[in-house]
Amino acid sequence: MNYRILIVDDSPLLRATARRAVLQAGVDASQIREAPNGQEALDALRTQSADLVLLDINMPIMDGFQFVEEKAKDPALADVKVALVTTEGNQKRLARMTELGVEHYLRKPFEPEELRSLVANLFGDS
Amino acid sequence: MLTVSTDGLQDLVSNALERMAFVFVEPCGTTAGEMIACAAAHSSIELRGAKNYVVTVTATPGFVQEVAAGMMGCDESEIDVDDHGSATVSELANIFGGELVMMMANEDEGMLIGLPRDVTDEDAGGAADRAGDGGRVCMVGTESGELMVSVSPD
Repeated sequence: MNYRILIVDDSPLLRATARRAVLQAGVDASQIREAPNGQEALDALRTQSADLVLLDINMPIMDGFQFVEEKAKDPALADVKVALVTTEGNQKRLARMTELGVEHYLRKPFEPEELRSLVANLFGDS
Repeated sequence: MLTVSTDGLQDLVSNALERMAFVFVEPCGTTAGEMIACAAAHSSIELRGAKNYVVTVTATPGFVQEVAAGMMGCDESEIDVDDHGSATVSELANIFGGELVMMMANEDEGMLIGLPRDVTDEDAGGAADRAGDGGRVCMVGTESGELMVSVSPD
């Protein structure tokens, strides 16, 4: 499968690092796009959908929680899978993400192999 | 009183740098004043919980180049410090702050991390000074440059 991936992080360095990790992990990505916050990510998905969103939590304008809540309201985005890529260490906040349906996450900093495993778990292969 | 020791903070910083950028650091004897005088950028991030702390990170140009190159998989010479200094140091503050929240979860499970922000030389120096009063400071370096991380009560 050729995955369309959207990387959402306010740090341009982390977006570049995540993009590199996708390539290094050997994930079969046909498209990798980037957004600096949740609002721009929603706009990007409504313009052209994606298979997987790699989502930071702490971002300005619209954070990861707001993004997931807004995405859930839009049936057109129901098939877009979301995985957290975050420094979040607060277990209550991570549990809240699980309640919102986001069960997969990577803690920054992460290794490309961890990303590969995450994609395999989400889609059943990589 | 911060329960993370200076050695614990140094281990946290060393481990995170190895994982995120394949940068291997050693303790160094540089003073806060010397660091600030040759810094490329400073960034702070707030940790809010039962007690509040500010994590402040200062890096020299050479250290910024080494970390950014390690993260992006390119040569250090390709990293323009003016372009990447703030983003790199902000991300370091974010990563270290997140690791500290994890480390302190047993004593304060509700601790929240803020967003990193650029700070001035004065702010960074003040944070290092306040770290002497119930906080922690660590100085580490490589052949390319040096890094200061302070955790100050807020």
